[in-house]
Amino acid sequence: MQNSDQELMGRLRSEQECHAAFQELVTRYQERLYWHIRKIVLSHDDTDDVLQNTFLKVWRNMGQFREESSLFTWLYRIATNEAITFINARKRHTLVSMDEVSDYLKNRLESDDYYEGSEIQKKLQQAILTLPDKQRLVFNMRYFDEMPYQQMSEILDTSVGALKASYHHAARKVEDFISNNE
Amino acid sequence: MYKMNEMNFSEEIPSGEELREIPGAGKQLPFKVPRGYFEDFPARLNALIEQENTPVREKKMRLADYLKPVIGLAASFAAIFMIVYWPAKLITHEQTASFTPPAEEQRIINLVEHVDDHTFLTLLEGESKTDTTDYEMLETYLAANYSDIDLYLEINQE
Repeated sequence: MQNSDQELMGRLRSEQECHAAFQELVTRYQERLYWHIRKIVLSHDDTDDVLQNTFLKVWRNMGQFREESSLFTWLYRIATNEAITFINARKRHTLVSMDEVSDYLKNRLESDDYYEGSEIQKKLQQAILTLPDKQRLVFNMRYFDEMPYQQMSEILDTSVGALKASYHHAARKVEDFISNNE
Repeated sequence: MYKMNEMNFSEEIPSGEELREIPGAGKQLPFKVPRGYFEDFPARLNALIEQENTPVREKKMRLADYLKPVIGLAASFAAIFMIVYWPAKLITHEQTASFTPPAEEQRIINLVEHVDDHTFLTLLEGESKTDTTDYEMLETYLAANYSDIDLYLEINQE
């Protein structure tokens, strides 16, 4: 994948091939980025908006990619930032507190036509919504994607130790929420 | 980008503990996507990028663009003139023509127009006097030559 990404980046820099190479990049990463964003913003419609913005940003800033990190890391960073920007925009737009943002996300989750979870899965999502933004992000990446801490560290620009601690606290809170709401 | 507190807790968490499942919830996401979403997404994105790449050209204003409103206004006036004023003028002209007096009458009118008021009144009075004189002369003649019965019979015969 790494070599393939390097080859893809080479084609993205070529004027003749950049459109075709970008199409390939989208096809290759759209699903992974979609699910990463979906875990943050929860509803399909919001995810679709954020995913579009993510790839538009990638297209506009392709020249700024310096290959200091892998293409995968760079894309995940952009997607994560776009998703967090989206949530923050909701906070600013509605001038609501963190709890109310959680309520907003909970409502979006419950009204989403593309949610198909069991009761325990819904409870898990509600538990995740009680976490602070940073812990929520780390929990989702680790619990559902089982992403290695080193990779998470590159994406979130955070030390592995801090990520492990965040995940540990988040997992405890989630378990407590579920056992207290049974 | 989120910057978390740089703390090292790596020794606090027992290996493997963090990956255990929440009982009953599993690790599957409870979400789905619309049918064909990932097949359609690249095309939708491409359309957005093409839309973004299409430069919005600012139209240069030419002399014709500046004159266009003026020309339009002038054309409107011309149209109103053709529709309203022209037929109205034609009708008015026809009506005026129908009241034009014949040449002989026009000559008399011209003559009268050049006569001052005093002369005109004198002429009128003189004419009236002449009429009265003629009438009186006729009356005298008839009274001298015909009786009332003769006159009555003469009129009835006609």
